[in-house]
Amino acid sequence: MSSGNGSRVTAAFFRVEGTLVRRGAISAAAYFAAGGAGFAERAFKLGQVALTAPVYSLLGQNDRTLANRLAYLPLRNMGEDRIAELAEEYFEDILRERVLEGGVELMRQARRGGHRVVLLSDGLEQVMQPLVTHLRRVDDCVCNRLELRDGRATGKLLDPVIGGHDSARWARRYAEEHGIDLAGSVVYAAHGPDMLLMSSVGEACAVNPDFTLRRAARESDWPIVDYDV
Amino acid sequence: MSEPNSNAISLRESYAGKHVLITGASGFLGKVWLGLMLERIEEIGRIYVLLRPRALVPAQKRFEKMMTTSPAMRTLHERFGSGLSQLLDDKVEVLDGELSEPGLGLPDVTQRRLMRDLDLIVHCAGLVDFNPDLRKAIASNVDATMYVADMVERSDHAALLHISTCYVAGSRYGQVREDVIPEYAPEVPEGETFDAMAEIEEARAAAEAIRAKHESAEHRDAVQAEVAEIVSKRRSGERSRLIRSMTRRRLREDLKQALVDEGMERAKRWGWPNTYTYTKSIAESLLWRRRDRIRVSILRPSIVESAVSYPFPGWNESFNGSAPLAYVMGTWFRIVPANPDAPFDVIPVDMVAKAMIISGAAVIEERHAPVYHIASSDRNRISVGRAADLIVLAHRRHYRARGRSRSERVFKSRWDAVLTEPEDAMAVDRNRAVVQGVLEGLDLLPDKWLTKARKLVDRTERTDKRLAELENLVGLYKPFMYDCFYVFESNAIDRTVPEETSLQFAPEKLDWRRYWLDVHMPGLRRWAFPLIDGKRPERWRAPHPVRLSALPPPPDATPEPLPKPAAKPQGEDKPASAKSGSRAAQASEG
Repeated sequence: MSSGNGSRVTAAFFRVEGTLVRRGAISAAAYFAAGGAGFAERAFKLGQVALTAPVYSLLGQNDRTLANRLAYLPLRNMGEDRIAELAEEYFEDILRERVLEGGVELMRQARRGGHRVVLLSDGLEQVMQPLVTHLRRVDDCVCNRLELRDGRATGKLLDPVIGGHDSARWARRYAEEHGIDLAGSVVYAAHGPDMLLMSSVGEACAVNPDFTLRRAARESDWPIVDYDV
Repeated sequence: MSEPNSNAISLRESYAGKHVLITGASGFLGKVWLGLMLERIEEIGRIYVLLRPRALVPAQKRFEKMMTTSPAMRTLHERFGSGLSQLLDDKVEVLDGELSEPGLGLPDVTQRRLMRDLDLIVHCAGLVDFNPDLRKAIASNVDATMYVADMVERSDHAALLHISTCYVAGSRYGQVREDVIPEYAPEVPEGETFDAMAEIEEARAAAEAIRAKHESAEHRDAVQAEVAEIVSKRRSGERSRLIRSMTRRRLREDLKQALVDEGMERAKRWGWPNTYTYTKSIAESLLWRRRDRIRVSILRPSIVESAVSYPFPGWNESFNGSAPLAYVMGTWFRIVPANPDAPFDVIPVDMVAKAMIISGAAVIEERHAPVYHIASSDRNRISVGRAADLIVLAHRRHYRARGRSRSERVFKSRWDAVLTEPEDAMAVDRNRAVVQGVLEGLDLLPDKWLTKARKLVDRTERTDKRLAELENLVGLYKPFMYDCFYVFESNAIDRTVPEETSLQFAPEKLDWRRYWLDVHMPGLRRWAFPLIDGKRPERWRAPHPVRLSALPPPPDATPEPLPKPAAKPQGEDKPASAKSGSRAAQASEG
């Protein structure tokens, strides 16, 4: 809990997708599906991802909880070894080259400003581990976790699912647990569903925002940073 | 204050000043045991290494070469440098021996000295091929064990640690306990009983009958006539030399195959999956008959695989574990019959060597268990399905990064092996049936067309040969991958917990993903796959070659009659002198 004096810790929350990397949950799910065991399984899983993608983009403008749950459903019955190996491959093949330098610079600035750097991601923990190692100097990373049973994914995500409207509630709980002063903290995000999270902290910054967030940022006088245009 | 652990044992104290003889020290397991003993049990009195001399190369020279060129000895060289030869002179004596001969083929004087001095014999030698010539298997795995037991029985105070295998359990389903069932056979037909000694004598007689038949004049003439007919179809002109040479080759191959088949048939009749486990189990039964007269403990490892840390991660020299299977799963052939839920019991070689050191100390201290299972299925289980997935992922990782061509990098890396039922439509035997059908069809072609289609015939024959090898391999592994479901209880080793933490046995600490992907599969690719490909694995040579001093003349050269083993019950443990195949013993470790 907080010490109650003026020296409380502040954090810079980065929503990874859009601010630090270009790829999101569907890209990762498609990569995993294409790496399934055997051709039949790959075809089936890729088909599932193809069906999920349009639903994701529709739902993704509102609440991403359900969208993320749907995105990772094709991983059902995949072994945890395969998931871990494919996650490392996905980072090497896809994410490493798509890390946004502008986001990394924002992270540096946040750290220089004395903020604790916390990443929030729709991605799976297996994918985020190599990213966190690559980015270095990340204090905490909160991301989605697959439910595993007998070494295989059930296709479900464990609660809390990152990416939905619950993020604001989650941020408050996280701040209490880690003694973080939300009023002095800052959020960097890129998508409409992150508005509640952005409203719950002292400062917010829209990074490469989508249409919804750009409009909200203008209305709320949040600064807008476009380094990926 | 905490109570002292009553299971604790100081290995250094137990081995201090003790004299230990090891057989099979040139094998995969024996080398790791030897390295660990020399490096971590400095207090050991003397280690006698029994090696078979090869033509014109005495055992000592073989040992020096092994110590100089085996990568397993790399850490010893790193630690002792040029002082290793001196250490070996102080601690090791190499003996020219022959395990499949009475008295281990040692001179009487040496035998007497050993019987006086030895505290422990670690019998690690054996023939580990799954389907060897029956005579060789009996000589190496049964006769040799009995001769070692003779030596223990005649010695003043020596005990025996016999290295066997968990798979003596044969065709079983479920938990396998750490005990010895006297005169054990997994499946005894109703109305029959299994008598190990009678069985081995019958097997010996059957092998002799096969030899006699194959070496008879009638059989030779029949084979020669067959060969002559084949040759006359394909060659013209002078053919007698070719016929003679092909006949000799056919006779030799037919005899070998008949003896291999006889071994496998006998093994399967009693419920063992192969000749190796059949002969190993019979050796255990015969050894167990003598338990009142010798101090003996049996150590049964499961599938011994790459080292996790000693001598270095990934060290492997074993070709009977997962290597052939992992190799096949990295080829374009991808259908493997297996039960994905069955445990796949592998155990790193350095863990087995540590368990050998622990159980050896327990035997010396008379605190031993009758049987030790050194296995992972009870304590840290990995299933066949998971192991197969890890093999596939390791191949994927390799081909993506180091594929020699685009097709390997793009396609082969994603060409996953699939576990199926044996009756799968794409199973290897179905594939082979199609290829053989094509061959039969080609055989019906008129001669002039056949000449033109020679390339096609050759290619089809090569494919058939390759599929036959795969079919054989799949058949050998099916009992472990599909038919049986073993969980080997593995608790006895915890009754003696070494104070030396670096020598503790802890399979539960293994992270299988890291082991298979970062240690075992790279190890197989480095050390085992080149051999399967018919290439030499990378070579290593110590910067300081090992040179041992010439042995001093034995101090007690006066010939004295050797003590005889105590009288035994009728028909017990008196192996017939292995007339044929006697040079097979000590091929490698169990």
